[in-house]
Amino acid sequence: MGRYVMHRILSMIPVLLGVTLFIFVVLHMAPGDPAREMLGSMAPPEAVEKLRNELGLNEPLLVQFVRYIGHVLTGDFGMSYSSRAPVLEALLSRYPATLTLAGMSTLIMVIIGLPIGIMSATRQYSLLDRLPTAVALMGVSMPTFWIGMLLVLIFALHFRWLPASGFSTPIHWILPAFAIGFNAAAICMRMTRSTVLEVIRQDFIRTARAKGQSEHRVLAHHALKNALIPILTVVGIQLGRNLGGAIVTETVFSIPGLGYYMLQSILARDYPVVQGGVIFIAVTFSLVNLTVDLLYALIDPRIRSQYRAMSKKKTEKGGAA
Amino acid sequence: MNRATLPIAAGALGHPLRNRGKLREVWSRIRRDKAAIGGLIALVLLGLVGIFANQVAPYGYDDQNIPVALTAPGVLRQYPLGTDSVGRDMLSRLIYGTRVSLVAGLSATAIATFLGMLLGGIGGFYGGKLDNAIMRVMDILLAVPGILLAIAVAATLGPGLRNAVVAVGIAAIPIFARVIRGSILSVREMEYIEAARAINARDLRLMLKHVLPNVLAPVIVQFTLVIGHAIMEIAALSFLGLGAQPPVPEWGAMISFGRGYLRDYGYMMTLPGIAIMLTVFSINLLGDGLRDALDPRLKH
Amino acid sequence: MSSSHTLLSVKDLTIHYVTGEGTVQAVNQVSFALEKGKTLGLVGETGAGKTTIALGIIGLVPNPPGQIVGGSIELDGENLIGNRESVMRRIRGKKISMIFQDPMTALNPIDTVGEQIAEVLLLHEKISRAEARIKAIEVLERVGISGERYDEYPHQFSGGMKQRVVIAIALACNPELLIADEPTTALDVTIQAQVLAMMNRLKDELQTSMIMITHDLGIVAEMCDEIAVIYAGEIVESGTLAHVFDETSHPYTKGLFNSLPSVAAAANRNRLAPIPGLMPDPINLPTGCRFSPRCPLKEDRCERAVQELAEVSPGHRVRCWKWNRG
Repeated sequence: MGRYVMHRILSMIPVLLGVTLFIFVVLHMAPGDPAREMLGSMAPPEAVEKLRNELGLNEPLLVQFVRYIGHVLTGDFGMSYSSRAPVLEALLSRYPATLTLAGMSTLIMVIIGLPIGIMSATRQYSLLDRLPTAVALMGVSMPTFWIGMLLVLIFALHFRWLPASGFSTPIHWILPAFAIGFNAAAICMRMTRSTVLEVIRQDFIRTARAKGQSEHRVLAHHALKNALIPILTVVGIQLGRNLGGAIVTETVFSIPGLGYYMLQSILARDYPVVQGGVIFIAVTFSLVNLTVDLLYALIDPRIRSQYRAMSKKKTEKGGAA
Repeated sequence: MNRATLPIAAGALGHPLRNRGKLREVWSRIRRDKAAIGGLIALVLLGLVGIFANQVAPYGYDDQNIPVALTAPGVLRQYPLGTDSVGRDMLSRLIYGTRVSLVAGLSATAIATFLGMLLGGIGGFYGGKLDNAIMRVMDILLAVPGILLAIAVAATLGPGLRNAVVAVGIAAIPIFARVIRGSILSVREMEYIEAARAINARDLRLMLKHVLPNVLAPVIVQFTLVIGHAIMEIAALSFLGLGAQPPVPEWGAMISFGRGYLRDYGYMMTLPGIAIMLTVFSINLLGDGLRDALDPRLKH
Repeated sequence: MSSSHTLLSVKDLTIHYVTGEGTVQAVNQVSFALEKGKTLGLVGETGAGKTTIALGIIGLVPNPPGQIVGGSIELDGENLIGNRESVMRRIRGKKISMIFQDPMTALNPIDTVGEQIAEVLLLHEKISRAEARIKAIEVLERVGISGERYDEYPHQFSGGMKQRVVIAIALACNPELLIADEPTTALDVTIQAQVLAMMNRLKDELQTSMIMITHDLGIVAEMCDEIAVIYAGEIVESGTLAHVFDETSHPYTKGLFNSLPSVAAAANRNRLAPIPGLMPDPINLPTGCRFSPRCPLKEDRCERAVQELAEVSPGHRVRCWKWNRG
């Protein structure tokens, strides 16, 4: 199993490289010259050209990219074009806020979405099913940024119970986390409901009932444990999308997180910041996926066997990855 | 509950379903799903509003009338939904916004579907190294949240609704590529393809006659699921300033516009959001209904 | 049927499914009795209602939309219809067990095979987990699987072995009645023979009565003492093995026998003789005899009136007025 983990981590690398390259190319294709942006439109062309050479912007794209990767591997993410401060520190100081936001909204999603989805599935067609299903459908139809602003309107401006911006204290976390969490919970609820419905119709559930097992155990032990895998997949995917939702939500709530920073940097053509930020996010994403895959193995013995077989095959082939 | 899911029914029905019969069966299933029909009707209405916006809207979307600026809904009869900060009629802007959002959402999804089907289809049908390469590229596109990808592409292409549409479309390609590829892979294994091959059907004929109809259903379902999402993402991009530029009455841009007036003129922000919600809700109702109709086993 | 010791008595059992498209009359006035230690074969095509009858006996008819609308079922004199779930749960797995057709999906993929056997033991017997494990291993051995495989998962077993596990679960608490719904249909022919032989052996050892649902007349010949032929939710012919095989009386039953390929027929260059047509739509059943649309002996009288069961000889019943002329 450990071999499988190693293998997965190794295969993350080409993907990360690919993403970085992709963003690199996309950014450099954009119109606008970062050197000019930094010096202002009044600057003389020689100064701009000098800065371009300093930043290495005149070299072929591939050379720039390779040099960048080389630096990153030694921990040097470069300097922000706008602030001239080291990118790595700027990113690191802002990342915790984004992670907190993504984490909290995922927690809200699971706490609300899972139980309601299960209840809905077990009481199919009753009011306890139709009502949450309708509400969930509404929930997935509302854009996150709008939910955020509605929450601000109601709870911050109207009732004045909660703050409208900032992220300094836990109280500040509530509205933005719910802004993302509500939409996510709706998605999670729908997915949970359909998964549980599908599992309940499987033959082994009928076998369990034919044994005389109580409906409660049939559900809790046989059905839910099997439903856990697809549900876990959804939670994992949603965590990733919650990271994305955090970017927009940070804008709505003026939260000084990575997302907001990335947005500003994209608009200001601050390449090093954007590249660094993308690496951070892509690594986080990949780690989440890896964790989900490992959790699968914990739950499902068939997947455990698969992983073991896969790592055995690797060693038999002489470690050909 | 329909006959096809009864434990005894499989043999009792007996009559073999040919393709035309299948279409009729799908239609009859949808017809009975009241929610889906509701969604369809709502969408048709929205579509008509969008097409005939010029006739339906009382004012142009950029007819500014400063003296009546910031009028709340219901105060003046000529402006039933109020006016914004430069005196434009909210109702008219929302009506034009319908056309903007529906066209934008459809275009973005169409881009994603076409390119996704192309890539996924090639990969799934031919397999091997080509398939691997295509799937690696899809993995790369999926390695960051979709909204981030869309933001990056949109920022590169520059502001504007068209660029936002392309950006959102590109970000959604992997979804369709995977769906198509998955469908093709599973259909390829099915025995009736082997049977067709055994009587010497040519590849293209195989694709069209046997593979395509079965692959179409999940694509249609995915299409309806993605459109709503696309509309919301385009609205988000416009909200951030990357999509529709003023004075285009895109709902997300309108919400951003209303942000500065949140305290006292909240309707400027809530009304466009409600419009988004109603539109995406209708799309999702129809999409859910389609999904249930095309694969009834999923329903119960 | 004689009453030396009637274990199961089913009288006029009627089960309907209420669907959006109409009411499916799945089972109509079915009556039979099963003696202790005997095996009854329920024979018929797919969709005839055999499984529904079985589900009715064990109380697992899916409740929306199905329900037992009439008749009685008695096991050892104890009524099985209309009971509270808690009562039925004590019967399932303990007094009546049921096994189904597809072994590949019948077992929970994330529980070990041993745990799944232990589960039924712990449900019905007051023993500790450790004792349950020991007993479960015994049960495994009895179906021909090494006890060492207790901790293995279903995906590590072949189809035939999975079905043995399923049988082990069903017989673990020594039930009085085992209902087997096409237990070997999904298995290879050679494995089929093994599993059936094992079932017969266990049945004799444990004195279990059995209802064997199948469409395969060969299996019927090997396993069953009595037979009931089901068509469109009704019994069209019933009796002992000898009655039905040697004195076949109903046109449908005759059609079933005739559609079997046989070496003799091939030698005579006879073509296969399937029964023309298909089973009727259970929502729109024909008036009169349900088999008449496909019957080679059909007359006007057949379509007008419902046919009742007539007694051909003691214990042999047929639902056709032409039984002594066909």
